[in-house]
Amino acid sequence: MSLLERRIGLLFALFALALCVVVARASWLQGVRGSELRADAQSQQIETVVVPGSRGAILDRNGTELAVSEDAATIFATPYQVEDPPRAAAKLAKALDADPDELLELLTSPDSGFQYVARKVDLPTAERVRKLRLAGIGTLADSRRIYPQGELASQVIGSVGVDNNGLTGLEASREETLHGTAGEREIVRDALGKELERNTLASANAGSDLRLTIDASLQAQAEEVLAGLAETYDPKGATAIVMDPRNAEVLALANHPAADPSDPGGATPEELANRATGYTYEPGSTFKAFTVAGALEEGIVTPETPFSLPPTIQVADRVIEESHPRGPVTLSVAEILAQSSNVGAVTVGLEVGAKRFDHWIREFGFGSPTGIDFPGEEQGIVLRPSEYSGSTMGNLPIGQGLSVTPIQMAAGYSAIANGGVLHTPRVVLEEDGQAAGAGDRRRVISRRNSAKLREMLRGVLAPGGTASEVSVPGYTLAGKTGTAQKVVDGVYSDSQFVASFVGFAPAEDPQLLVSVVVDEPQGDYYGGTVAAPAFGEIAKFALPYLGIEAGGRGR
Amino acid sequence: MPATAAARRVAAAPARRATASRATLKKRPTQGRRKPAGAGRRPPNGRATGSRPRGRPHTPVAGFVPVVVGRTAGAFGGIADSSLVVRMTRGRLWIGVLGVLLVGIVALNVWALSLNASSSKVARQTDGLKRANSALQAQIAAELSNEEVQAAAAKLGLIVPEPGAIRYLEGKRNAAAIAARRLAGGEFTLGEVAPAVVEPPAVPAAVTDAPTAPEDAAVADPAQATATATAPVAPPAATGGGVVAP
Repeated sequence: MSLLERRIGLLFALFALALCVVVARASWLQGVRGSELRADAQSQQIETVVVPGSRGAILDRNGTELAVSEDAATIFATPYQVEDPPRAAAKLAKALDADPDELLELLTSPDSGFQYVARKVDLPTAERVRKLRLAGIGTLADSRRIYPQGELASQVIGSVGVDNNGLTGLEASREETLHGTAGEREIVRDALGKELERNTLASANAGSDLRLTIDASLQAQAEEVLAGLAETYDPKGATAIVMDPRNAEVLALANHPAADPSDPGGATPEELANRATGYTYEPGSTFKAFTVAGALEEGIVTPETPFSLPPTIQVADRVIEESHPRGPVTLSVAEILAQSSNVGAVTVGLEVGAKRFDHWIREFGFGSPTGIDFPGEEQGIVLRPSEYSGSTMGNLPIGQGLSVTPIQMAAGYSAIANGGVLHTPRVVLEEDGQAAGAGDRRRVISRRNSAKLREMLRGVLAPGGTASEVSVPGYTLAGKTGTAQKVVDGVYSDSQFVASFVGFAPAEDPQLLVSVVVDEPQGDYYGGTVAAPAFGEIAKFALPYLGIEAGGRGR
Repeated sequence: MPATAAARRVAAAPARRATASRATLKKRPTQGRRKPAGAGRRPPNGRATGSRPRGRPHTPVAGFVPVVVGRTAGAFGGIADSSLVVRMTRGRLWIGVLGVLLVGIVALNVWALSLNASSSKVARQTDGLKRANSALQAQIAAELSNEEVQAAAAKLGLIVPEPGAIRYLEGKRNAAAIAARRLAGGEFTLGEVAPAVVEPPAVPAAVTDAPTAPEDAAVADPAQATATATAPVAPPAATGGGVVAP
């Protein structure tokens, strides 16, 4: 073998050896440690990011945005990766306008590999944090709920939690419609961390919009009026319902005290409660209209039927008297309503009889939920005739001994106003672009008796009526005042009252109904002086705003 | 000089082998094109001949596959032995071609990576714009909130008219034509809007013990309020059902 051939052989052997080493190393890396190294590489190069699906918007009936979602970011920390925590905390505190000590506590947390630093911050703030390039501090895409109208209709709209799930109100009850679906995105980076690829693994879907029957302008007006009323009478709570009596669509649903929907944790349960559907009270004199409606339907009375009324009336062990002492009088049914005579209403109720009286009040929907498309509706308490005591028929005709919700009263009066048809109230007009169902409706009293009642209720706002001081220039009004004593420790209180008024306009062709309930007003407590003026203020704005003509035309 | 002779023999041997190889290569293409013995020959009746073990089922695919494979292999073998490839691989051109191919492969990879990077950048920009858009939409919603609109209206001197100050008119047949003529004549301009003379009743007065009189809103002087409300509105004849003060 020549020298050249030996050298070639040696070179071949060296190359073969090198190849063997390479093959062995490759087998080791790819075969034995393959899965481990692949996982490491993927964790370094491939990042899977959750893309939040934003919630659908809540709009008023005219498309005004009441709740919308906005892209935001959540700032997080991986404490063990943070270099120089005090310096990082100081920089973050400046960018986030937060307490540096609290941040330092988060960044030095020994037991956690992940800490939220700030949730749902706006995008410019998140960008400021990103630019700080702090080790161990990262951002996550998020979305947050914005309420452009502030506290407007906050109890109706409700609120969402930090995970964008509805907590209260329509945000909770319509979660399925509003909630978006989160997507996933894969980001591939090179060794220097530069983004190479961005692949969508699952697309994020936004939730559907919800359109309400609420009119933002009317809602704002109703809330303004309640705020003014609260300033004067400092009540425990108050609610105002503005409704279209022709179809029971709720145009405004205001509550006092108001709550900030963007900070549900900072509100008390009373502030978060929608009193219109969740508050029960003894309606008092506003209930007399239903007593008379039953008597009219039974054919027992007409508006002109006279009743000789003593100053008081005794039913079993209970003596019922008027709110203002008087002597014996003769009053027609219309006058009984206009002057809100307790003795007169009890007399009419006794004429109807317990069984038929119970039939008529249940016909108007009392004792069961109205079915409004709002969560947590109370049904009130209405005794069965078998549960009546001897004096029950001395209470019920004047709205005592039973409890109702403001929305039940509004729905019942809507039936009186619209010709005798009881509609299911509703607050949702459209869901996911589809018109929401109009709800159930049924006739409860005849058109003729409805007209008679409307006419009688006009007398309440006429001279001599309990709300004669309320008027809206150019419009005819009808309604009923109510001043009910609250039951405290089983007895009717002499200092705690519920003042209420339910009215509609124009009286001859009602297109607007307003119900105002004030819980424990201070100073004055009569429905005619506390609640009725609030009705007047709301109607004064709403009637021309809705284009309703004085004669009942328009819209 | 045996070493010299041996060296000459050593040097001559590769030359001979190369000549022989070239001769062989020249013949190969002809051989490559030649049909295999027996292939393509058909008996006069047109049927293929060949001995096949008795009892084995005859499948047309089983016979076709080897033929196809053989011909394909022959064709590719032919390429490797073609004079063009031979000339190219023997010359310096091959180095250039190989270089271009290598550079091309690298360039292709770089191009694919840069495309990915640019598409990722566009996706990032899209995401950024979507986020900015959602923030702007929220901002628009806030700007159009009831409170803001009322404040803007108050600045313009607009007020909500008193209910009694509003009346509705039936439109006459020629109302639209009159209105159009007056509009064209410049009779209705923003300049006609009277300055605010009273506080706007956007925030209604607090409800008090006092009876709610028709005039109890924030209008100091009904006459002035009426004048303010009516200023920008067309006269009755031209309104066609518009809202005007009496």
